[in-house]
Parts: sequence; C-alpha cells; structure tokens
Amino acid sequence: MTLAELTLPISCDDCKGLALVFTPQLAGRLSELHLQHGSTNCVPMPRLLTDGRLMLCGDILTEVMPGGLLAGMWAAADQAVLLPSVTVMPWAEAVAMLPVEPSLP
Amino acid sequence: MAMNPKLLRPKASGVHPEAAAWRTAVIANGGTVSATTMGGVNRFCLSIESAGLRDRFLRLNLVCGNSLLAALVPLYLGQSRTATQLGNTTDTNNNFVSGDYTEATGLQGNGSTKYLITGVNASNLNRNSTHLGVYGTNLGDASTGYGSLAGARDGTANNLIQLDGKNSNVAVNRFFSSAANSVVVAGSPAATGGHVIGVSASSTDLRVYVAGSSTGITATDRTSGLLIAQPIYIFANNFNGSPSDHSAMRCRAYSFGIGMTAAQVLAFYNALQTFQTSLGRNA
Repeated sequence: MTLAELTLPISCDDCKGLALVFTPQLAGRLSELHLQHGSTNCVPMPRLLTDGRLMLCGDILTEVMPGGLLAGMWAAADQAVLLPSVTVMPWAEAVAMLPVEPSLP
Repeated sequence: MAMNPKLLRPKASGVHPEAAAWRTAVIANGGTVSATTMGGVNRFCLSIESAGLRDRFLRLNLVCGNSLLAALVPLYLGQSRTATQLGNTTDTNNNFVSGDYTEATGLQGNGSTKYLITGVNASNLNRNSTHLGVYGTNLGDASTGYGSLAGARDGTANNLIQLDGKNSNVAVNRFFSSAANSVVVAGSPAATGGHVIGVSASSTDLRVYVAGSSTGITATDRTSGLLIAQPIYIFANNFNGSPSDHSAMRCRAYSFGIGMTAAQVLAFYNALQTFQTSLGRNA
C-alpha cells in the first residue's frame, strides 16, 4: 500500500499503527522541503532501516493538515510524486527492520 | 475561538522575571500558558532561587503549557537569566506530533523515533560537577527493554553522560564518564516514575537520586577523558551524532547542569514535585 491509497485526515491513534517507508532520495527531497517550509518545532527525521530505506512513524501525517506543524511543507510538496513513492506498512513490521542500536551492556 | 484573557493576563505583582520571560517565549513560539501553569512556574522559580539553586542549571524544561509548542520552550537556558544562554532557544523536536503531548500527562516518547535536541554540547559540562535528570513516568519502559532518557556519548562509548531506563521495573542504570565508571542502580520499582537525577559532586563522588534520595554511589575516580562536543538529546542519547537507544518515557521535566549536594537535590526535588502537583501530574 502507498500513501496515495490512504485517506486523509486520519486519527492520531490510527496513524501510530503505521510506518511511512521511502527511499533515501525521497528523504533528501523531504529534508529540502522542510528547510524551506518547516521549523524546529517539528522535524521529520526518518530512521534508517536495515534494507537501506528510511522510516517515519505514520503519526507525522497528523501534522500535514491545515493548521498542522507541517502543513506548509506538505502543501509545497509535489504530491503526485510524493504519495505513490511512500510505502505504508504496519508499524511493528517497520520497527522489526530497525538496526540493532549500540546499547551499552 | 477567542482566547480567555485570563490566560495571558500578568499578575499584578510577584511574577518572577524568569517565569515572565518563559511565558513570553512560549507565546512567541505559538503556545499559551494558563493561569494555573503560570502560578506553578512562578512558584518553582521562587523556590529554586530561595534555595540558592539557580546557578546549578544550564538548562531546564518543565515541559508544560497548553500545547507541544509551549512544551518545547525551556525555562532555563543558562546559569542565570543574564549568563551566556546555551543551546537552542527551543528544543528541536524530532518526530513528536501534537498528539504526543498533553499538559496533564507530559510528552510521550515511542522508544524508536522521537527525541529532542537541546543544542547544548556535553562538553559544556564539567565531569567532576554535573547533574542530568528527568521527571516523568515509564522511565524504565523502553520498547527494546532499554532506553536512554537523556545523554550524549562518543563513538567509543567511553566518554559519556547518560541516564538510562532498563526493562520493566528498573529505572536509572548508568550515568557519566566511562562504561567502567558508572552508577548502576539495580531495580527500583519506585524509579519507574518520578524524579531521577544523576549527580557528579566531585571526581570521586558519583550517585543517582530517586525522589530526592540517593540510591546508588560510586567512588571511582573519573578525572580522565572528555565529554563529547555533541548536543545532549532527551528521549535518546546522542551516539556520536546520531540518536540511539530511544526511550518511551512520558517526560514532565528534564534538566542538566552543575553538580549538587544531597540537600540541594532534595530541595530541587521538592520544588519540582510541588510544581508537578500544581498541574495534577505528580508521579
């Protein structure tokens, strides 16, 4: 499933069960958009998965609607390109693909 | 919707200048402050000052106000209001959303992606006189069974300042310096919520306090090594520039700065607990 197939707006509780997965190239474009239209009050900072893709928690979608902290960034995005390029998967599946962190013993 | 004028109306007298400055900063960042919260913050400032603790803090955030935008605004950014202000004026929010915060409960981490960047490098701290603490719940509850509540460390994991939660009923387990020179507090159910603070009072006195009481101590000398010139993160540790070991805690305050005596830690705890009680969220 891609983000293009998801109906927005979506509740925060529903979003938290989802992960948004995308390529490093798209992550770079999102970072550029944030620099132009975002602020430090909400920085979408994806985490690298073991397969080389990047992941955000789906609850970031609660901030893209008008009045949200990422509304400006969302409005400026080319959604015809963005939406089909983002894979939506269950949160637990994405978390299972996170690399092992270098915890201290 | 029109704003209730009581939300922003200054008191006729007695508002501590740092509480007033904080409220101004919150409003500038898009948040608001209720009269109840303002009263609590004001009393906290007065208590800290009267206890002689103000210069112990390089940064303190009470994580309060009406919204996430308010909660990102620290109360203290330096050792005094006129001293050099360190780090980011507001905490940089990575991946938290508005729904993660209510004033009644605090800011909720998820143990995997969400963290705050203070902008204050660990190298600003003196390893022989430092504190790092948080107030909240779920302190020992990380999705992986381990989570850093706050901290920064270098690539060798030897030069660190780190406050961790571990497993279901263990809270603080590591603080400061090197892996060989750390305080480890074995499971303390009480420490899964409330105030936990690691304090280095000298090169040979490193301990952890839970709810104002010392629960672990080490006398190992820690005079060697450097703290990393990377900013301290909250809800994770900064592992040489990247977030690591995210925590799922629900944070209601954090602070770091200079070391404290046992009496000072207790006075700080009492002021903090009174503040949290005033918001109905004491743990």
